[in-house]
Amino acid sequence: MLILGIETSCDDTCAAVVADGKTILSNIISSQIDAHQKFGGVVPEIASRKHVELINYVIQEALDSAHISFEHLDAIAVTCNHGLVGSLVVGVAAAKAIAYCWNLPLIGVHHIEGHVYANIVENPDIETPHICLTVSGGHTMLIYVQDHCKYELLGSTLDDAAGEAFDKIARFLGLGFPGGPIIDRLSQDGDPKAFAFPRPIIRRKDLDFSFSGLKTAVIYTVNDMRRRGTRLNLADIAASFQQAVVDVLVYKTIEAAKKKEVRTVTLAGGVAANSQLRSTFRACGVHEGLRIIYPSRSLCTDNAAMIAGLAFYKYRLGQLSKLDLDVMASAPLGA
Amino acid sequence: MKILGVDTSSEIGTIGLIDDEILVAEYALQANAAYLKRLLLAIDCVLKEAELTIYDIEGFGVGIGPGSWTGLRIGTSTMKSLAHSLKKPICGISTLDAIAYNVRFVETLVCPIIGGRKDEVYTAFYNNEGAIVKRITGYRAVGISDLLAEISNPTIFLGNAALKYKYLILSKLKGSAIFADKLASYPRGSSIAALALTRIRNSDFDDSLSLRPLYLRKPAAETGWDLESRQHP
Repeated sequence: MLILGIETSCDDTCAAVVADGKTILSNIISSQIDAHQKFGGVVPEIASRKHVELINYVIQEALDSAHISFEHLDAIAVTCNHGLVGSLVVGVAAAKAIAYCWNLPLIGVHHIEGHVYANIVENPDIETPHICLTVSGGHTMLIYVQDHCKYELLGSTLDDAAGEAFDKIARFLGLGFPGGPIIDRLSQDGDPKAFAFPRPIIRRKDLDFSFSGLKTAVIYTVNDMRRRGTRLNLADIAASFQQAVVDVLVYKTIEAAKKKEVRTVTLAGGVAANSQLRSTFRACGVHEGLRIIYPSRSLCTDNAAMIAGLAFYKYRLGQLSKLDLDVMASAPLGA
Repeated sequence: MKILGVDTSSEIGTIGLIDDEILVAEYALQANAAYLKRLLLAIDCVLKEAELTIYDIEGFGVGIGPGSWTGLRIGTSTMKSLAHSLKKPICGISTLDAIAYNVRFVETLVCPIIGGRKDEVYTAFYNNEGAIVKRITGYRAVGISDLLAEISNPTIFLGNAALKYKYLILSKLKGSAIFADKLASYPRGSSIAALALTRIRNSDFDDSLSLRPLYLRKPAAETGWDLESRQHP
């Protein structure tokens, strides 16, 4: 079964063709980073405009790279929930038009569920139930994946998303945008123990996260050092900040796995590409006897292969959309 | 030649289907932000009414604005994806041209005005000749007062901003201002289709991959409006 996936929930225009939820025939991502970089973050109006300009090119490229054309498709999948409304509408409008022309099933997909399925696309044998930590610039969630397309949200961030904290600290330190990869790279030369930044709400019994206090602590420390004329070792600051984020994410995720008595933990979202997060999880996995799975880097950040992958399972469960499909900035999982 | 024309740039959406110069079916929807939900179903409704399918359509026209940015993105993305999927020609038609088309038989100066940001309007001047829409200036975004200061000859005003600024226009221009009725103030799907038909006959159509809306305004972030409004609340 060939599914064309379309994803335009934030600033990447994406289309992919996936066979049977597991074989990626093409995965096209047109990044808009250059257009947003000078503003230090994603500008919604610019993102919406770029999507309109790029969407049909990206769809055509996804078909060409998969060596197929529209008539070979069996279904159209599109992200319709969770993201910037002005961006989401572009992908959904295009998906509906294609589904209508070719009389194909339309499958509206939740962006975060898509991230969960980035792992399942690459590891179709993954056991359920499992725990998925999905963490990016827009969200931080601990999800109990009970069965295909069946979720329980165990915890989420009370303020900033983890990736958002990376972006804000990178901007504060004048390092550029997006912050995640920059801080990851810089941290390789830094000492993660140089500064004892707080691990917010790590001891609280629930599985929620909070990163704004950590962000403030970093800013106060740096401002204080600047005032006193102390030389700033950016690599040490970056590494210590990154370690604090990683420690909280890992600790809460392991707690969730214990609470739900699962043996498999998956990581998803842009921050799942962070090398320190990956290596700490690997080490903890060995220690705790957990199978740790994370996607290839190209499936961590926003992409449409995960959308087409998830849609395959939704299709099997009969979870189809109608032509009046609408978008929502946020929606509960499994809705 | 069967052409489907759509405009979703304003509060009243419109879909028209023509076969050469014959109107086959037309539909209006007061969609207020519900275009994404309703547009394709409305297109389906028009086609069913005409006992046709989307495969019978030989070309597409879409209102590319200026107007509501979200409305334009939904209309443009939908229509160019139809054209792209079916490999049929598409023409982006300025919504201002489509409104001027409503009074194409009138040879007075015509000034369609569409509400923009703050006190700005989107506009152009037309001097129609022999029932052909003839635009004599470029499309632009301009303050309503600045626009009125340029006008001295008798002028027909129409468009959603003509209704909004009617009393201001009358107070500035007195007898020189003539107002078209409300029905003539919105683009019609059949007009978009008719303007597209003329272009398609001349092989003057757009590329369905690269077609984009006519915004006439940069995003606020690029013009620094956000910054200004924060400094002068």
